[in-house]
Amino acid sequence: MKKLRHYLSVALLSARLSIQSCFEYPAAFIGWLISNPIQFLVAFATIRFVVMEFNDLAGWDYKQLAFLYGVSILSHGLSVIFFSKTWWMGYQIIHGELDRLRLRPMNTLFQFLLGELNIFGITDLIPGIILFIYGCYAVDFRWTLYNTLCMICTVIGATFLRGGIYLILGSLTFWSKSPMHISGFMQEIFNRTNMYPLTMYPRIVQIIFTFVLPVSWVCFYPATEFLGKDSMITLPYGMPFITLAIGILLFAISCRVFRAGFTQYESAGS
Amino acid sequence: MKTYLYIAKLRMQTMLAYRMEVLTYTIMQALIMLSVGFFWKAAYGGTQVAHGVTGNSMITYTVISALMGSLYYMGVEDRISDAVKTGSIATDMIKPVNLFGMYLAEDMGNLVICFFRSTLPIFIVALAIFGLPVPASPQHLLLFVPSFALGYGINWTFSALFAMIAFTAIDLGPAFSVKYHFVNMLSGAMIPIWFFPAWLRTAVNCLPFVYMFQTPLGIYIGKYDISESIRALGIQAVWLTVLTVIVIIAQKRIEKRVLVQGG
Repeated sequence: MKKLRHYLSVALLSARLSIQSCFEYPAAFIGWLISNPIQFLVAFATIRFVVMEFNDLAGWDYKQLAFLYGVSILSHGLSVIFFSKTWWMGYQIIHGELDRLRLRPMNTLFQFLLGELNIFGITDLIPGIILFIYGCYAVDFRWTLYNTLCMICTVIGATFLRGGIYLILGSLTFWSKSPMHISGFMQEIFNRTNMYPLTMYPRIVQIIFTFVLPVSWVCFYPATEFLGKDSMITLPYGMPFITLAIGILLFAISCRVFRAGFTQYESAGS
Repeated sequence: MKTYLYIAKLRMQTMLAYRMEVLTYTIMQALIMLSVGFFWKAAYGGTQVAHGVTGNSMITYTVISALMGSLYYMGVEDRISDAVKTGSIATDMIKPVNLFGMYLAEDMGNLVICFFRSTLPIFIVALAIFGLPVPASPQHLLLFVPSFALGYGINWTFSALFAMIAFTAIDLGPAFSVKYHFVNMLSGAMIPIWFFPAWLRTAVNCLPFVYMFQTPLGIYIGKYDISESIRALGIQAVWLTVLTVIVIIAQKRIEKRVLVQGG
């Protein structure tokens, strides 16, 4: 219990430090605050213009797509805050910057993930929250107790799902010893499988992103349940809990991979 | 000319060094192309023709857009902003060549490498999944080639101008990302602007972006007939001339007031 309190206080302190260091350069923060939302606005406008022309996309109307996109971007924003350092960990590994994690008497992964939050992620989170509220309003989402619980499970599960995959990919550098540029690539996959209905892709693609690389659980499957849409898998209820389970499972696996990789870490000089 | 050819060759060798980066970038571009292709398939659904364009033409549009995008590698942007940030602009400027001539020569080198590294693989993927992207007619194909070249020129001069802001701002940070997303949307690279609402379409038509992507693409799929295409080529030429003149004027002014930070 005492240990937990200690960890919590360290996490809070480093969160405060992260916020302070982020606002050290307010111009950069404002720059991202303008540029990041534009990216989502452009993607969303694209969908809107086309769907207004054709009325629907694989049976989803514009409002339902707004809801799907809102949930997706919300979890994206959260994953940027907590996990985006895994995008650059390849460079940290080959430059030996993880040394100090070993010197402190605390869990290394805890230090790595929570030691320095990416507060710039707020610039992704803000458009995420706006789109999410708009999407919920557009489809008239009912905030019953059960639905609220499902939504919380979806968002938490999706954040861990994204983060777990980022951490696994980042940890591969422990073995490869050269940074791999796959984080942008992975973000694009998450985006493409959760921005549009998965059912518009050929069946083989649907199978891959459902069972092999379960990225469409981020929000496509929970959204099908919320909106009563058909997909390859139709369950009466429980999709959000599967998302949460997959998220936690992937995160647990990624912790193992990180720990195993860290034993291979040999500091700088490679 | 020989000097510039040598610069282009040097650049090709540098590009070859970044193997892994280019590979993942190419795979990503190919995946985006496939995703957008399936997006159009789903959007068209039962609809035969929208705005005078069939669903199949839209897939051709997407494929050619991805191929063009892979060739439109504007190295000049990073080149200028890095040179200003690190101060190496000074050594670039004392070289006995025209500064922008050198950057253009480097990008010509990039173009050759991009063709083999990105364009060909993306073309093969497109061929396997969507079939051959056929042009509307041989005449259209013939007009597409100069239109593409002019589109490249407009894109390049615009990028050069944009990057020149670095001379005054030193660090551009997220500005490039904003520019990328705007150009992506307003050039018709993702969706043609004939799908935009009327007010936005009118505004976008007054900007140079549509002439980078949509004009060559529209010609390729036969959205424009021959006389319309020739007129579009004329407008492209006017834009390229205007932008080139601005680049030359800006270059003259910048050479006088360059600030070398060297940090």
